[in-house]
Amino acid sequence: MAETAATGPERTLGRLAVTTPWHPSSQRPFAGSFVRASTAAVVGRFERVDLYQTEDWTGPAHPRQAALVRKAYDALVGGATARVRHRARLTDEGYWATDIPTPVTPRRQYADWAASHENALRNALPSGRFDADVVHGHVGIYGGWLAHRFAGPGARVVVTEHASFLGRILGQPRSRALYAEVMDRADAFLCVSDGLRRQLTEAFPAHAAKISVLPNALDIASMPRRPEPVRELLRWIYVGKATAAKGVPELLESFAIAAREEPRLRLTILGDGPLTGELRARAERLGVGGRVAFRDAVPPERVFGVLHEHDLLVHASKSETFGMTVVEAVAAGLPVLVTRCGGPQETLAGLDGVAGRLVEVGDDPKILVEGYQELVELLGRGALDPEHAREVLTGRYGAAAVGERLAAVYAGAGGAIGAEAPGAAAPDAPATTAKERV
Amino acid sequence: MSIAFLALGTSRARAVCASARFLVERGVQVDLVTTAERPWRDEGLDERVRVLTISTRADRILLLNKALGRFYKLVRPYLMWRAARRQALRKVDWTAVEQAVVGDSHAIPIGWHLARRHPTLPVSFELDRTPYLDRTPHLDRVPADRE
Repeated sequence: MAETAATGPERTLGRLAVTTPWHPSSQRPFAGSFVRASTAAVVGRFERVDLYQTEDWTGPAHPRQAALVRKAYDALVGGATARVRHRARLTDEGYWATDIPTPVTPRRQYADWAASHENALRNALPSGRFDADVVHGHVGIYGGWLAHRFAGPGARVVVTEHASFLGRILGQPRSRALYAEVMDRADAFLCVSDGLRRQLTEAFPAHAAKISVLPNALDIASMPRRPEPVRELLRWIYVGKATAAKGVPELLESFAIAAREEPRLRLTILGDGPLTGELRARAERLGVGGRVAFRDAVPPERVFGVLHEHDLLVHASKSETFGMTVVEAVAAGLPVLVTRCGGPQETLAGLDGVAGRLVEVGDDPKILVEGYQELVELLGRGALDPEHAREVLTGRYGAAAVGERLAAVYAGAGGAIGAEAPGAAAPDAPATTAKERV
Repeated sequence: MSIAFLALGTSRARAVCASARFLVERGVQVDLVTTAERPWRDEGLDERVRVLTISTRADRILLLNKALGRFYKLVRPYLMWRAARRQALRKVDWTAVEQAVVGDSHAIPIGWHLARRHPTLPVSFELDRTPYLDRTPHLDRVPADRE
């Protein structure tokens, strides 16, 4: 259970509705854990919190078949004769969650998907609106769109953008038009990284004043520390998909070079992917096949156990909006060697040389090797300070810290970083904030 | 009493398999109506779940033919419902079914047909576990007819 930012006496913000396409469910138990953590971080500040998860159920691609699925779905869930009733369940974190299956086609048209989510949610809202003072949509398309469509006229609308695929959304004219509507309606627009904020500010310069950065809340307090401090950087680990975008081939090449100098080095690649077979073969050709372990991904609760069996997290990704694994490794007391691929230079700001080493993105394996050698030197002279790094991250991303700032945004009092006037009202925004009404 | 899952593909296999296991461990009979058994067993569907498969001959012939397949796709949902009714749904005693759970998008039309045929049958997209929570799970129990 995530730590909560406040409990008891500060229930001053009325009712909160959260709408998201990502949240842990029976099919995707690990999806959207950051939405759960962010919601848990503010649950004590509201009289009631309802979360609506519209979950993609991918169906037939053929338009006629898709129309039949949609018609049958509407008949099952809609109107007075509905046979399926959506039920809210009380989560361990103390908010109510409603899982709403959303039939979608496999065609990547974000505007169509948004329409599907809108249709599915409409059937799940008895009054046709969110009965809430504050509506928080996660991901501009879809959660933001749903917040815009179903928030009451006086409700404060807050949107968080997380999507690494934001460029594709904005690249489709119809989706971009929907996004512009969301922008117009939102009272505050939060991005989980500065890279996303810049992307949105460039796309919608007129709304720059309400676009700001507020990272996801992380339950760092519950992330277990390594039982013993790291003394040597011999057991490397990479956690994630084995893909080119994650720089896993470069990581393997770097490992092979470093392994020539240090026969005790080992590498674990935790998580498979399209390159797994190729990487296995390459490891054999490089003569390190017996020193590289390929392991299947493990559930989040087991990740820390695996991290604790290693000495160094290495991530050579080309681009990351946040880089959750890096934060988890630092919280676990593991030094990190990561590329400056976007998110990590924000998450580790001020911690280069303390939590680990940041290196440039590149195809040359020597970049990582040199970073590794520098890390060995830093560890040797006691410059790394994992406990301090964890404290910094707790202050930056911990549920209490983020919950405090999120609550301020909900109340219209700022709390996020990077906008000239965080939480400033849009031209068509309600005249009063939730705080003023309560 | 039993529970029937309807899922033509395995896109949501994790949810269906987890719910099915939860039930069979509590001694509840579970049926799964789908198009092929093997992929489900590969996904870890409990052996105690009875799988009722449906197929149409047209699937085997026309889906491989690009020209005819385009036309066939228009009528396939209706043919699948007829196939489901004839081949699988008649094997289920619907008066004893406590919940019919639609497990994937492709099965939604069949769920709708089923709901119309059985006006009092509870239909859902997710198993309601509440009625079974107080039953003690028997993790290694195998039904007598499978021993």
